[in-house]
Amino acid sequence: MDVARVEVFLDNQDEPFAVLEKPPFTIELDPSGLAQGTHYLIAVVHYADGSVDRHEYVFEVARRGPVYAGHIARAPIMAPIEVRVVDSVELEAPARPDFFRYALLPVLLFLIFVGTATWLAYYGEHAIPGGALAAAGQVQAKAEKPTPATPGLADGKALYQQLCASCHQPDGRGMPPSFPALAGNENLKDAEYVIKTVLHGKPGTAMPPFAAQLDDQKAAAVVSYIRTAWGNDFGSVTPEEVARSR
Amino acid sequence: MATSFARPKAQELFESQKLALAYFAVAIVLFGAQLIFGLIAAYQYINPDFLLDKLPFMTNRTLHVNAMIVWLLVGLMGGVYWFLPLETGREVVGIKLAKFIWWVIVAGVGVVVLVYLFVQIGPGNALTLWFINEGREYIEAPRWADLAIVAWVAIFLYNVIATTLAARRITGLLGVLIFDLVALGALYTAGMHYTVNVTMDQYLWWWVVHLWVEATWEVLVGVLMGWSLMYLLGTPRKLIETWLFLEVALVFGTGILGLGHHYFWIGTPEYWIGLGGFFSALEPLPLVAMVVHALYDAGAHRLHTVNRPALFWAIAQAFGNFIGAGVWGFMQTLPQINMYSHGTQLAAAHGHLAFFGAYVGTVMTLIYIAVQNARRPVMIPLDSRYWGWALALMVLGIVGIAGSFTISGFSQTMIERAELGSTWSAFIQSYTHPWYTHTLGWRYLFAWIFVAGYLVLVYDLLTIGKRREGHAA
Repeated sequence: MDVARVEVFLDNQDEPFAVLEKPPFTIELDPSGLAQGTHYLIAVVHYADGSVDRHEYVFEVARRGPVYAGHIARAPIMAPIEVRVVDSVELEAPARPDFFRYALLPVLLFLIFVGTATWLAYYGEHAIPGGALAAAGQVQAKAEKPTPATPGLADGKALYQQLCASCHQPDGRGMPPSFPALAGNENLKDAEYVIKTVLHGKPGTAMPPFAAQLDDQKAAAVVSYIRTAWGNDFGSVTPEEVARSR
Repeated sequence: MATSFARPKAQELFESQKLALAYFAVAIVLFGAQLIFGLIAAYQYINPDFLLDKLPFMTNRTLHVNAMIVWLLVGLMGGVYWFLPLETGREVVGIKLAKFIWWVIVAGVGVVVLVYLFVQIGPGNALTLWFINEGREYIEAPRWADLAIVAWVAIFLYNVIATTLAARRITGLLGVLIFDLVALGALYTAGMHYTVNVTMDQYLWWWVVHLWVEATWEVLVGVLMGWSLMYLLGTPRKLIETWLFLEVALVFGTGILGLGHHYFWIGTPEYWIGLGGFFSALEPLPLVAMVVHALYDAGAHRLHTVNRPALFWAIAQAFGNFIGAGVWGFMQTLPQINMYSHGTQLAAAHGHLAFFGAYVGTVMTLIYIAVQNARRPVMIPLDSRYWGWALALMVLGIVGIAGSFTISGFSQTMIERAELGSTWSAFIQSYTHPWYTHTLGWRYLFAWIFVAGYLVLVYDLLTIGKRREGHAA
C-alpha cells in the first residue's frame, strides 16, 4: 500500500509541523526550541487508497541551562516513517579535526611505542650470548656445538655460573644451612658421590637433579670445576666416570 | 537547522554496523566458551582428578581467562564500530581492511584455542614462545597472536582517525577515543618482552594486566557508555563530555601510579609501597563518578528509555564497576592488608566481580542497543519478558561466585597468612578449613546459576523485538 502524504503534528497544535509528500518519509526533529518535559508527535499517514493511520510518538526534552537534548521514549511499531532527533552538536558548525593533533600525533605516538617495544624485545633476547632462552637454561642441547673431548675448566665454570651459582654462590661459599658451601667441602673427595648428587639431586633437599640437562661431558666439566676451583684440589673426573653413575 | 549527512537509505545499517553485529555474535559465542571452561575449573576445585590428563586446571584456567579477555575486547571494539558511523555521520573509512583483519582474528582465535586445547605445552624454547604459549599468566597468547592483536588495534586506530578526518568532524568523545586507542595498542606490547629476570618480566607484565585492562579499557568503556547514555536517555552531549573528561582525568591520575599496588612484593624498590598504597586507594574515585553520573541521568528521566534491557545493564554496569572494581579492589589494595592477602582467592573474587561489572555490563548494553536496531521494524521501547531473568540470574550467579571466593580468600588470608605465618602446615590448615572447602561447592552451584542466566540471555537476544509484525505496507 503506497503512502500518499504524511502530516506531522506537534503537541496538539492545529497546524502541521511538517508535511511530507514523497519518500523518504523521514522527519528530523530539532529539540532546541522546545521546553523541558514530555512532548507528543502525531504522524497522520494518508494512503493512496484513501485510508488514514494515526501514529503517536512520545519524546522528552531535557534542559540544563543552555544545554539540551531530546530523545524518543515511545515509538509506534508499524509506522512507515522514521523520526530522528537532531543532536545539538549537529546544529553547531562542526569542529574540524586538526590534522596534526588528531591524526599525525596519535599515529606517531603509536609507532614510537610499538617501535620501542620491538627494539626491547629484540635486544632482550640478544643481549645474552645464545639468547635469553638459552641463558635461562631451558633449552635442550640439541643444536649446540659439540663440546671438546676433554672438557676444560672454562666450560665447567660457565655451566656452574648458569646452573649452580644462584644457590652455591659464584665463589662456592653457598648459603648454609640450606645451600652448603662447596669451597673446602671435604665431601667432594668422593668423586662418585659428587657425580651422583649432580645427576640425581638429593631428595628431601633443595638440590635438583641435572641428569636431563647435562650430558656426560658437561656433567664431567661441571664436577671437575667444583672439585678444582676456589682452592679445592680433589682432581678432575672423566665423562666415562659420569656415564657409569647414570 | 539540521545538517544533512550522507546517511544510508532510511532504516538501513552502515557496513560498519553490520561488522559490529558480527563482532557481537562472536563475543557471545566466546562468552559461552568461557563459561564452559569456568564450570570445569569450578568442578576441578572439588574433584582435582577430573580431566587431569586431558585438560589440567592450569590449561583450563588459561582458556577461561583468555576467552574472557578476547570476547570483552571484541565486544568493546564492536561497540565502537556500531557508534562510529552514527557519531561521524558517514561510513567508516577502511571498512574492507577492518573486515579482512576481523576474519583473520576470528581464524587466529580458533587456532589459538585449538593449540591450547590439544598441544597445551611445548619444550620451553623459542618455538613454544612463538607458537604455543608465552607462559605469562592471564596473557598466554603466543607471540604471533600478540602481533596479530597489535595489527588489529592499529587498523582499528586507522579506521577511527581516517573516518574522523573524512567526516571533518571532531567531538570530545572522538578525541578521547583516538588517544585511548593509541594506549590500547601500545601498552599491549609491554607483555611481549622476554627477560630472564622474573622481577623485570613481572614489572612489564603488570603494564598489560593493570594499565591496559584497568586504565585504557575503563576509558574506552567511558566513551562507549557516553554514547549509550545519549542513545538510551537522550543525555545532553555537553553533560556526557564534561563527565567523560573528569573520569579520564581521574582514571589516569589515580590509575597510572596506582599500578604500584602490584609492585609491593615482586622485588621492586620499596618506594612503590607508599606510591602504590596512596594512588591505588584513590582509584575507586572515577568509578564513583560514573555511578553518580549514570544514576543522575537515569533518575532525571525516571527510567524512561528507548531500550529497557540496555538501560538496566548500563545501571548494573555502573554499580558492578564500582562494587567489583572499586570496593573489592580497595579491600585489598592497602599494603598493610595486601601483605597478608595477595595471591589469595580474594584476588579472584575481585577479578570476577570487576570484569563482570565493568565490562560484561558494558558489552551487554551495547549488544542490546545493536539488536534493537538490527531488527525491522525497530521496536521502541525495546522490551521482553526474558531479559530481566537473564540479568537477575547472572547477577545472582556472579555475586555468589565472588562471595564464595571472598570467604575462601578470607580463610587463606586469616589462617594461612596472618595467624599461622605462611608455613607449609598453615597452608594445609587453611586449605582444609571448612570456610575454604565448603565454598568450593557453593561456587560450583552459583556457576550453574550463572550459566542458566547465560542461556536465557542467548534466547532473549535471538528473539527480542521479533514477535510483532510490521504494517503490510
